[in-house]
Amino acid sequence: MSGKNNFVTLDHVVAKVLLEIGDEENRRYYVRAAQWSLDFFRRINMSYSPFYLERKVTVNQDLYYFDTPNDSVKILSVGIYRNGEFWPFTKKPDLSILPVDVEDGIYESDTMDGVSIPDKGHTFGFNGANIGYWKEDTENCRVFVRNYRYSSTVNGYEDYTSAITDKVIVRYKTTGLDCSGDICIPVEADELIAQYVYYKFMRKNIPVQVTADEKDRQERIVNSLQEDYETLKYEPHNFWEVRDMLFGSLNSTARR
Amino acid sequence: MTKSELVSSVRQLILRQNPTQDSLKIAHPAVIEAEIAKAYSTLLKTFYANEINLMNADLDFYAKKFTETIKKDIDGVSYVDLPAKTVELRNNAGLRYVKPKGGEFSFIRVRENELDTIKKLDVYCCTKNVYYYIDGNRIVIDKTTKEHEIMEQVYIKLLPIFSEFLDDDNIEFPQGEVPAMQMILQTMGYRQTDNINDDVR
Repeated sequence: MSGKNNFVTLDHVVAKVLLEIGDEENRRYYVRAAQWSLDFFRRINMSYSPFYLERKVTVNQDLYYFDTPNDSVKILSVGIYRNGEFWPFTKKPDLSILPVDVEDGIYESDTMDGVSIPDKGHTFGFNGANIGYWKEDTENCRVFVRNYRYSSTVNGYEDYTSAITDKVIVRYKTTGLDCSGDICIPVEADELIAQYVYYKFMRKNIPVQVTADEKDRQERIVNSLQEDYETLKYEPHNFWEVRDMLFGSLNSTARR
Repeated sequence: MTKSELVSSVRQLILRQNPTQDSLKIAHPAVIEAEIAKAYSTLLKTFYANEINLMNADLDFYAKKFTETIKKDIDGVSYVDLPAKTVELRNNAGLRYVKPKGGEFSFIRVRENELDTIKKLDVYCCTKNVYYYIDGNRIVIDKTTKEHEIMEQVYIKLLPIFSEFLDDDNIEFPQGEVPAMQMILQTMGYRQTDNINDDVR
């Protein structure tokens, strides 16, 4: 099996599908099998997988934003690491989106400058102990970040975003389809994807016609695998997992 | 059966059936070879027009393997010359495979128009495959990443048409030699006769 640890490659899944439909020699349906596997992988990532992806981003030095990752479905959190712990910023829907020119998309420094960007040291955005903020600009596929710190010299909060531009971490729900690297499919989803794609081939009678009975049987297999996959993700399977789920957060519990 | 054995076998059949001066002309090896070529490609095309036969086909059995060097044309398109003419089967199945010589990349056979559609899908950018299709007498290779540039040579396996076989190459027909012989004789205007009872008459 190709892949690393508990992941398999896309080609591994596609090879299984081709074997099921009997196209392992000619590989005429490779593209179809691969695209359908990717489609289904995206779907289970978006709808069923509890996993999220964490990635370091580079924040634009001038406007303090970073581009939304290509494979993101939903931004869950933005923050930084501090003393080995993730410190999330506060999502602030009212944070200003910088005005840009409609034609060239370049920041308009003349208009609304004072309104949209608080002067340094302005107390804008103060909210309890949390001094980091983020806001998603969905229209332009980017996320704005601001960070403030208390300055005793000015006796107020000043914009400190420039100091964290290379430290920002984003946590997001991913489609799993990041074309810059290999597609890693969790091993527990491997069989589900292969059987689903095989079922899709059957439904379309590719490469050969199959009976309604066979399609029904295959549908039941897919449903059962999907149920197993969801159960595996969300429910404890044995005593140790139950114990960890109930008492795992207590430091007094003996750890394995 | 080798190509030369096949030709001489058909020639013997014709001469035995119709031993006249004309037969010697008709049964000229070049004529026979051309007729066998027609029958060979017709048999392959007819047999593999059926989807189930094509799926279960052991087409590599009839194929020949070549090694070719990758070239680039003036537009920067990578290609290799088709080493032999192929039997044109559905979905370009006559071209069995193209594989890198000393590499690990997967080569995927597509059609030219199909590739335009594939380029718009995730499968094109998310996998590191090389796509190829037949364009006239060359195989165009679509390299998707920079890593593919290191390839210099490829192995090509294809189903050549009959005339591309050498005299000592083994020729196999999909349903055996008997139907093939019948078809060859039929296209040449001969009907195979049963001579077993000739002495009785």
